[in-house]
Amino acid sequence: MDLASGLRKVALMAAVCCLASLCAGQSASVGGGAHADERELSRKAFVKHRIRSIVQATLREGEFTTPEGIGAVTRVPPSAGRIEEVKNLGEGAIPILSDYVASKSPREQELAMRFLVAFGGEQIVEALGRFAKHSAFAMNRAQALQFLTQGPPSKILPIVEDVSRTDPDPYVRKTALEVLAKLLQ
Amino acid sequence: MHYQVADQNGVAIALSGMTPQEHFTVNGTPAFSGFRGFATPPTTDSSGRFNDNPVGTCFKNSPPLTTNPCVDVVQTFNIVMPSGTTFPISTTTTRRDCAKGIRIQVSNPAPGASKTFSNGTVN
Repeated sequence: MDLASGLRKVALMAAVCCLASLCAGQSASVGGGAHADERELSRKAFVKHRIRSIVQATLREGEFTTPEGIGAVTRVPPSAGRIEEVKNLGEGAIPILSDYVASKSPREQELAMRFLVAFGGEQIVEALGRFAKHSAFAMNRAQALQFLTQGPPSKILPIVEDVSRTDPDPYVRKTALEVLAKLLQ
Repeated sequence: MHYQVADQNGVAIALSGMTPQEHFTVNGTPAFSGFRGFATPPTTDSSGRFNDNPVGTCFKNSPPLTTNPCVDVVQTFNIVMPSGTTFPISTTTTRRDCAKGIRIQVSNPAPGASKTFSNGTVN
C-alpha cells in the first residue's frame, strides 16, 4: 500500500468513526469554540448524508423493468420507518430538506416536502414556502401549497396569496386560490 | 384526483386528520409491503377530503421508444383515524400506465359511483 492510499484509508476510517459516534448520539469532549464548530459541521454533514441516502433509497423502490425489458419508474411514497428516521435526525434536517428546492429532480423535491411535513408546525412554513415560490417545477409548487395547509393559517396566508397573484403557471395559481378559499372558510 | 372519505353507506365523513394510505401492485407485483401515506397533504381536510396527485409511470426513452409500452397498476387503500384505528377502504383504483397515455378507473362498491379518466394513447 502506498502512502497516499494509506492516508486515504485512515481518513475514511476517521470519517466513519465520526459518523458512527454521531449516529449513536455520543459526543467527544470539546475544549473550545473551534471544536464545537467542527462538531456542528460534522453533524450537518452526517444529516445531509443520511437524508441523501434515504431519498435515493426511496426513489430506487419505484424503479422496475417492464416485461419488454424497458426501464420504468413510478412514485413510491416513503415508508413510515424512513419518515421516522428523518424526524429523528432533528430540526437540523429542515434546512437541508429545504435546499432540495434546487434539485433538478421533481421526485426528489416531492420527497423532501413529504419529509418536511412530518415535522409539522410553524417551523416548516418557511421551507415549504421556498418550494411554493421557487421550485422550477409547476407541479411541485402546487404540491407545496397543498402541503403548506398543515401549517398555521396566519403564517401561510401571505405566501399563498402571493403565489396566487404572481405564479406564471395557471394551474399553480388555481391551486393557490383553492387553498386560499379553504383557509378563509 | 380528489377523494372524499365516506362510510359504508356512502355518507361523507367530514373529519380532518384522517390519514389515507395506499398499497399498489405493478403488473401484479407489490411495489412495497403494507400501506404507506401518500396524500398531499398527508391528512384529510375538515370535509374529509384528500388529494392524490397522479404521477403514473415514466418509461426510459433512451434509445427512443418505438412502441407504446404499458403496465397495469392496482391501488388499494386504508385509512388511519385520528384515534389511531385503521379501517379498510373498499374503493380501488386501477390504472393502465403507458408511455403515451394513461387510463384511471376508480371503482366503488354500490351505491358509490365508479369513474374512468383517460388521457393520450392507451393500448
